[in-house]
Amino acid sequence: MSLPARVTTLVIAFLAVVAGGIYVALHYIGAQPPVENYTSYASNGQVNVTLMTTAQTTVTNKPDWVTYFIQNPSTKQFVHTTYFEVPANTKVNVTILGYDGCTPLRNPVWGKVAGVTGNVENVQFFNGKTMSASQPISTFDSWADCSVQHTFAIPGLGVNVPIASVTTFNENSNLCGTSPCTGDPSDANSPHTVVKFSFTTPKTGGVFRWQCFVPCGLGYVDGNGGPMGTPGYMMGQMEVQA
Amino acid sequence: MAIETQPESAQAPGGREPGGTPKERAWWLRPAWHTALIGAIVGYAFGHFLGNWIGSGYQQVGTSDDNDMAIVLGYGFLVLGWLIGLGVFNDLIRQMVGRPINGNGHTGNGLAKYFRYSLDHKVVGIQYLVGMLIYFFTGGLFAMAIRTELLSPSYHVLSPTAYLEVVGEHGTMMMMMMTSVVVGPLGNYLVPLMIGSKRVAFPRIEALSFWLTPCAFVILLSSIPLGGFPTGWTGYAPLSIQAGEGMDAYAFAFGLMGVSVILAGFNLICTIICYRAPGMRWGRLPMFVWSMLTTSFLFVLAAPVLVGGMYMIITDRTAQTAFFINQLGGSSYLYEDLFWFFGHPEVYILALPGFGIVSEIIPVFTRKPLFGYKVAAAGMFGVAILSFFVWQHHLFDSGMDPDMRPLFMLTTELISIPTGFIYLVAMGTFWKAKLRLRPPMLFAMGMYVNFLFGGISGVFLSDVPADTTAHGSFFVMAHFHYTIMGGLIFAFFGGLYYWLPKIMGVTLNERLGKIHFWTMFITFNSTFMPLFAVGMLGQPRRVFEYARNLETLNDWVSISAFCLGVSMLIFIFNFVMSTVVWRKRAPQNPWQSRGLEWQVSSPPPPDNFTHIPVVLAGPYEYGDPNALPVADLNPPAGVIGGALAGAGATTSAGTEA
Amino acid sequence: MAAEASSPAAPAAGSSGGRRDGLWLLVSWIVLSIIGCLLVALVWGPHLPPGAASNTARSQQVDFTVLGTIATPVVIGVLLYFGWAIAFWRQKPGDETDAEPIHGNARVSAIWITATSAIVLALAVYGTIELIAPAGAGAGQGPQPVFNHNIPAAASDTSWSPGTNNVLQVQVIGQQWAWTYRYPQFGGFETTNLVLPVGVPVRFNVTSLDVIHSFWAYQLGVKADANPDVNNVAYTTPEHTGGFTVRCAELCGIWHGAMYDYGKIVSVSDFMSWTHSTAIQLAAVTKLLPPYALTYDPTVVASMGKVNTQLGLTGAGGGFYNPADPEQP
Repeated sequence: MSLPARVTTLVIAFLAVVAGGIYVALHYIGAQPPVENYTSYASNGQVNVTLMTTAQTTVTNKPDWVTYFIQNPSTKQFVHTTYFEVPANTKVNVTILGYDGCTPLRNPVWGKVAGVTGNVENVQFFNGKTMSASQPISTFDSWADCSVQHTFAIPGLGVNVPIASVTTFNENSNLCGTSPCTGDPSDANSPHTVVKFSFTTPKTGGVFRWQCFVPCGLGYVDGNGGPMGTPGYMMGQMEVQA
Repeated sequence: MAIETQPESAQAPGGREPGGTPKERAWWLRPAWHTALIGAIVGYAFGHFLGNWIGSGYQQVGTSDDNDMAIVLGYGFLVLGWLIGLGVFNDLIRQMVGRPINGNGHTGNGLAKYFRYSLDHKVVGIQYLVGMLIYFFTGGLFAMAIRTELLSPSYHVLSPTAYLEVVGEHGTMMMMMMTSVVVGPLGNYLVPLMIGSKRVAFPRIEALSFWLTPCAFVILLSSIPLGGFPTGWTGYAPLSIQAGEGMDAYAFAFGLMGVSVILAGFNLICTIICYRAPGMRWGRLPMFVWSMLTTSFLFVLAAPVLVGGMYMIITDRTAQTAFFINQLGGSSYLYEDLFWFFGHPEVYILALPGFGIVSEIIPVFTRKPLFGYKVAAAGMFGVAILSFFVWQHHLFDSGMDPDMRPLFMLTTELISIPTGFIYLVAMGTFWKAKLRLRPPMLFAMGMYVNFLFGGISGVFLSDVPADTTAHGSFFVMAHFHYTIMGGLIFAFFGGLYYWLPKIMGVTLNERLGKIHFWTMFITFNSTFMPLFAVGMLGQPRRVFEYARNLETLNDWVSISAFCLGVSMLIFIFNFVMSTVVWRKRAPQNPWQSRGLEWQVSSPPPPDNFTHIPVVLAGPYEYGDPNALPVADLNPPAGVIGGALAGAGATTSAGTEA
Repeated sequence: MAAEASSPAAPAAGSSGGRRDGLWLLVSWIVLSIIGCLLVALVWGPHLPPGAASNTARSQQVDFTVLGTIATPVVIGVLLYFGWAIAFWRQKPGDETDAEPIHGNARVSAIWITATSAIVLALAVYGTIELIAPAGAGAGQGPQPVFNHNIPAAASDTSWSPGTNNVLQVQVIGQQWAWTYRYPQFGGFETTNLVLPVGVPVRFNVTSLDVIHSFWAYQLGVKADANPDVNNVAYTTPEHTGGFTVRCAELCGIWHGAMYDYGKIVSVSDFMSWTHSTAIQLAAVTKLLPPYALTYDPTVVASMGKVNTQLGLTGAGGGFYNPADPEQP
């Protein structure tokens, strides 16, 4: 090949490699789940955040994985993500709608509610017809009653909240079949629990990871693979904006 | 000793029927890279479908949405399809059905032959060279991503999964593919030239060992769209059993590379032992060939254990065996032992060729014989043998066998003695020498300086109490980057600057070479020296959150790493422009070396030597006016026959595997 | 190291200045080494990681100082020699001749081999002594520890009080992705805070619930891998009050980098009051834990039977995950 032809081929090949590298970097490696931003919805030093757990994702390429959803504060739709942002030095009032069944904890120590106001969580049970009164619970025996479906734990702040499950028989047909579930606390279709708790974010900002401690990654060794190890399902990030 | 005495044509691999003419088809019909690709795609599709058919009914597959069986079978048939498309089995099948073998292994002229299953060791060497450079720079890109994430202890550019993905890809790409970074290109290309042979012992096996590497590369990269693997390059069970689909790519690719290096090593051992020219006594063997010999022994003895370990990971993940699951009767310790029994010789596989290259370079650029030839060879053998007796030093904190720790501490400390021989040889060679500081020499000296820090930090790590703090921290990272990158890669670049005129017939631009060396040396030390401190101050490996007081050091390291990447760009620019655009013709022996490979043209003729040379003296006899030339390239008629008659050996018939 | 510097090989080729090169090299090497060794041993040594908060950390600090002091002459020697070569032994421009054909020197080689072997063997012996002296140097020794010099025997597994010759037992449980600590001698409560009393020998029983982790208490100089179903014992004696960092040092999954903790060393009386109040605070959940054992079996809980008798119970996603069988369903 002549000199100009060689140089041209080189330049084209170089640009192709660079383009390919950028594509891989942005598409695969740099991808992160969307962040639900609650910072502008805070008032009087408090902010309300709503999450949901479901038995099956259905909306992604891993339809059988369990997952969390977070409610978008403006559209009120539940988005398939686990990343959210709250302001610093604020009391965060968390509501979690639990539509999943139950799994015993591998380490029962995570059955104790910790790091939240009063060290209790307030639980309401919806059995398909009526919503029960709210009761405060501080410790769960996940083996005895199979009473825990997932946990919401922020180890960096010492927060640990087991999400109560609805322990009834013949659950399978009653688990929410589509994801996200309607999210209406008095939804007529599926039994679920409504768990409420509060904690305060620190004064300095930062990024805090949160995760579930229930071995709910079915089909994986020790139940800790799959959704437990993928962002957007059973683990996420809370950004505290100072 | 098998010495070729028959006419040239019969020496050509594959042989030819007397009077037969090879059939030449159009280029797109002949098996090459493109047919291999088609075969690979068809193979993967078939394997994946097969795996889905077998596995989709299993509950584990249904609940986890991960069908590892489909992926693994897909990869297996991908490799098979790739090899079939490449034409690897064509000659075997022809022999089995009694048809004449087609062609002589010299598969065409010009650039086309580099895309085919060529049996010429020089073509395979260049294929390996381009491949290894691509793999190295891809791994380097991942390293840039790692250092980008580590710029801040709290702000995360990458998600945690992506970070571990990148860490694993970087480590595995380097440790897996770089196993053959010297043996592949330089070993395969130069060993026959250095020992006076026209070919290697098993050209088909050598070519096969190369063609498995692009498969391994692509399979490893395919892990990224599958979610990556979270274990780093060590693949510890049970995390590797727990991981998602990307883990299969790691296990399969690593096993495949293991097979590739076993083949390459086997071929080189037989070539070096059996194909030396008359007069090439063991005492005259170039030091580079000694390093290839010892490295090849390590390949053949250590890599099978790796393949076994990877195989067990795959069966644990697909066939529900429990080799590594403690609760079901297996043991996570088993994996650690299997992996490190391979893993430790692996790092000496990476170090020994570096020693060989620099020992080959320094006599040429000091114009002195190599000081202590026997000491150097003994050092290489000592390192190779001892490397099998030290692997527990990776497991000092694991809880295994505490009573064995003093023993392994001793053996690990002992291995620094033969490693030190290399320095004795270098320092003796430098004594009152006439140093020529050209790029190959600069890289060789850089290698010695870097390996010194790497080796000394290794002595720190071999001490069990010191290892308690240093294990699993950035101190270990700095240690192995100094030995592997500072040692092997610097030596590799030195060898490249030294031998590229011979291999491609063009010289690399010397000024750019010196700029490349100085930028690389300075940025390399600036990147990795602070990491010793970072590790000692408590930062573990593979983490993306670290203590705030370490942020300045990490930022310094990251910026230096980016500059190190820029220095690599200088090399790429130099390499590409010199070989493609400038193409400055190289003289036959630009460095005035006595090596046998330099006595033929640059590049060498297709059969290396017109006649098998008779070796008269060693390659390091500089400064001795009475020294004979290294070889007689036109031995008088009857010399070789006379040698054979004296030894009573029969002539070989030129068959090959 | 002094070998090649004083080599008498040169006279064979009749070059002048052989003694001068060797002598100058030797002298500069000795001078620089002495300076370097003094700096390393006396100035840098007391500040070397991991500090002196416990006896294992202190002995490791001494270890690093000794290793550094021995390494200094080696590094200085090689770098000095190389610098000398680059400065004085270059080929002059225009000179196309070769240098003297020295093939080797048996005496130099013998001295080098002897010297390096002596250093290496001395280091191995020293390392073994340091391994034995502070009871295993803080490294995990597996379920049957061999190095337990000066560690009192575990006189009681269920109670501990200051002043008795009893080792304090702390079980460190690694799970994906947090550390919890269990104190069997105080009722077996499990907490996420690690608090230790000063001056008391501690026996860490490190184990894991799932994959391999590694318990690295940096300022204590303790590192022990946490393997599932295996107990890994490490000893230390904290010597100063203060805080320390606990990090996971073995890649255990995505949050490996975030799996860290802060521990505290407090006075013995503070420790006793802390255990007392924590045991009360955690009493409700301590009842639910499996009985204390050196390896963690999550299926040995009091309420196990109740779960299995309820048919039709669903786990997450519709299948019941049985922690006793980690590969099912």
